[in-house]
Amino acid sequence: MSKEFSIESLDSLGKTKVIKVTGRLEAVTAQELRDYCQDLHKVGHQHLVLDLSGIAFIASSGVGTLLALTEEFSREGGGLYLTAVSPAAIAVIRLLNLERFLAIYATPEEAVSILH
Amino acid sequence: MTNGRSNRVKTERPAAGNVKRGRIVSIRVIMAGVLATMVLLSLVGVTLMAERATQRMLSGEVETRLKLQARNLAFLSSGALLSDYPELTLVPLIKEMEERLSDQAFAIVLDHENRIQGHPDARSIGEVYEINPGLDLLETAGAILPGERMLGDDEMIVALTPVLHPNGKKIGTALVGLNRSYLEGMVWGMRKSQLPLISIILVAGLITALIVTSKLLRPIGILREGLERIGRGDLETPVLLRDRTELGMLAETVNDMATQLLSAQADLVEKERLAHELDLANDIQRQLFPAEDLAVGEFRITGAHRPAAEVGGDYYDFFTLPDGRTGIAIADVSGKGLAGCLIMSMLSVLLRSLGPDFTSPSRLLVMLEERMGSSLKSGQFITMFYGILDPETGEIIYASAAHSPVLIHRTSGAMEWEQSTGIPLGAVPGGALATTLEDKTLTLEPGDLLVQYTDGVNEAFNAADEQFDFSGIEGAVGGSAAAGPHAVLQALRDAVKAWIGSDAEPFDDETLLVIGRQGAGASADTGQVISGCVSPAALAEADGLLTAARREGYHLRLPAATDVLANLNGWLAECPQLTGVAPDIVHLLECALYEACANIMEHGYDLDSVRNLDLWCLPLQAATAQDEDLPTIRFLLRDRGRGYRSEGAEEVDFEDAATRLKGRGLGREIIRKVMHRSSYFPGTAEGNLTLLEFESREHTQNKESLNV
Repeated sequence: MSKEFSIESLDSLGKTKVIKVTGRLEAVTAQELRDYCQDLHKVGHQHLVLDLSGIAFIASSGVGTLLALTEEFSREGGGLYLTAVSPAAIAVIRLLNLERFLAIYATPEEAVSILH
Repeated sequence: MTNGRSNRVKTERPAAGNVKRGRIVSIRVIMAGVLATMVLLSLVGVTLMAERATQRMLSGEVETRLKLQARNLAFLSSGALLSDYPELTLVPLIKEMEERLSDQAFAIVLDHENRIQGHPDARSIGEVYEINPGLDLLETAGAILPGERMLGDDEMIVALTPVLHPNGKKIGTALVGLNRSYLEGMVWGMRKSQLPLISIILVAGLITALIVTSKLLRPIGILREGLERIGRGDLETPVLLRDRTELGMLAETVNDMATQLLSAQADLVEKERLAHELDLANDIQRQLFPAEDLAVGEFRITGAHRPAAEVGGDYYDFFTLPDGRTGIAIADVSGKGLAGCLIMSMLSVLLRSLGPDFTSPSRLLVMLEERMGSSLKSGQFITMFYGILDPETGEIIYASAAHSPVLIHRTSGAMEWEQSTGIPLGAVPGGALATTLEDKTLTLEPGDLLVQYTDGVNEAFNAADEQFDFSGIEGAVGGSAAAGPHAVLQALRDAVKAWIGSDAEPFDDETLLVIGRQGAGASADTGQVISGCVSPAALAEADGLLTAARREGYHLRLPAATDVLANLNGWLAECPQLTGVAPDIVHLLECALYEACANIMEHGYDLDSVRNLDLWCLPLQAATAQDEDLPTIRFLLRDRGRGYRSEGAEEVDFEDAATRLKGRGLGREIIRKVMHRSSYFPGTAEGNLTLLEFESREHTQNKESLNV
């Protein structure tokens, strides 16, 4: 069994929040992530940086959630940035040719520095 | 393991606002400051009022004194003014008077022509004296003599008194004046003497305010400590505060709150414990049900169980007897919870061990009651159906101990109900059961179906409080009987679910058992949604695949709960066919298998974790000798859920932002991109089969062409 799923809030720079997602991103956990990000958006975080280095497995529902959140954040004038995406997750994103619809950066620091 | 529970998510919710604590201003300081300001203001007010009164009193006194001095001077001057050299008498007189009065005072004597005759400065003698025209006539208190006047302005006060000849005629004027600064000097002096007293009062007030507020606010510290303790989770130590103010009341409220929190916490722990026990009971119950359907000769036997929110005592089983016949049982233990579950477990064990020795169902039921005997408490009973099917003849010998009526659906469409004559096991002590039971016989002809169930099915209530009833069962069976026992089972499940409302939890366990005999010349059970799409050639291929899988495949059984899909990872890692395959390929295979299994679990099984699906990795196939290192990896999936069409589904266009916002439809894409071929064989006798093939050679070529 892989590591338990967790969402951890790392840092908050102005309106940019960095959160680290660990474990398996699938149906139930993807919904959890979606609620979490939407809650953050409601309290005023327009830009979210996700550290995905700890993603052990991503299912279609996980990729779907990342796509939907990216679209939701950019519609509201903010942004969702995927950083340090684990090999397991990037393999699926590449397989589906979805890189161009997602904002992917090498590290959270890089995403934050581009934002500021 | 139940789905959802094991996948507990550990997340910290974002705080609505982590309020930064600013500089703390002590109430003590605020109160002392306010009190000191009030004391100061009242002192200043009182002093100012006192000063004004003093000033008024002083000026009255000064005026009287000046008046008297002027009269005195006039009296003393009258003789001198009649002499030839008045100044000789008047100058020393005036000097002496001024000395006696103060350095702020002055005195002058004028003759009848207003010439100065008496002045401290002798050089002024004889000059005409002009009274300052800016001086106003003052109103004075007390008596005033004829011709007397009091004049004054902001700077001075002057008293004028006529000097009279003994005969009463005015022969001159005596003036005595005083600078008002004399008065202010006196007031200032008084103020100076009051200053130390005011300071003392002020300091005393400040100290008193500090002491009183400190004493009043001491409970806040105790309250704060108490609240911090509660925050740390210590709910047992009360806040000890004896205070008669509102703070004491607050402390009592805090203590009440802690007590309530403590009991709520205890309730929660108890609930979790009960939920855990319930999960355990559910697991035990589930394991007692047959893992697979039974196919014997022309007969297919299938069953399903949907538990109520509370674990119930429903039970069903079928097994092959030593003589080749099949034992079929369904039972409902009265009472729910762990007790019902335990009785059910006992019943299961007894039935499995006694079943093979009995050819008479009624005698078996009597023996079961005898063996269960003391385990059944008073008021606890079991309704049960037990039948023995002879697959050669289609004959079923059965006995029913007050169990729900048996439904037989004939191939003609006719429905027959067989009522039970028996009483429940354990209902009447003393062996009364044997006298009510009898072995009956019925025969299933080709195309016939037998349906047995528990009362959770016919007694399912809808929102309008109406029972599903036997008519509901007939409706569901009649509409699906042609498609075979699986279709009947599924149709009944769907109909009951729709009846109670798809979101509602069943009130009672729902258990179903269907025995179907293949129709003459008809194909086998053709599945549910899809029927007739499998050609004889495809059926033969599916049969071959399943035989190979069972013989040489690497197997994994998965209950229909998405959280068990995490097991795919370990299974693939140990799969002998994948030894030496690159980890990135294994990962892609895991992704595709995950999606294929999740699809079946969700759409075919409605995530009913009682039902299972089987996955095999088939023996490797290499087309040519050169392909040995690049074989085709094949996976076979077998399920007994609703069939679905894999082709014809629309492609998802991710260029469309609205599609991305939905974030759905990716699962099929993953399977399509990873697997080079997928074949679907729905509704075979063994259920729906899905073959997924991965061509190592094709994958390597694609990768190479991409790199180029």
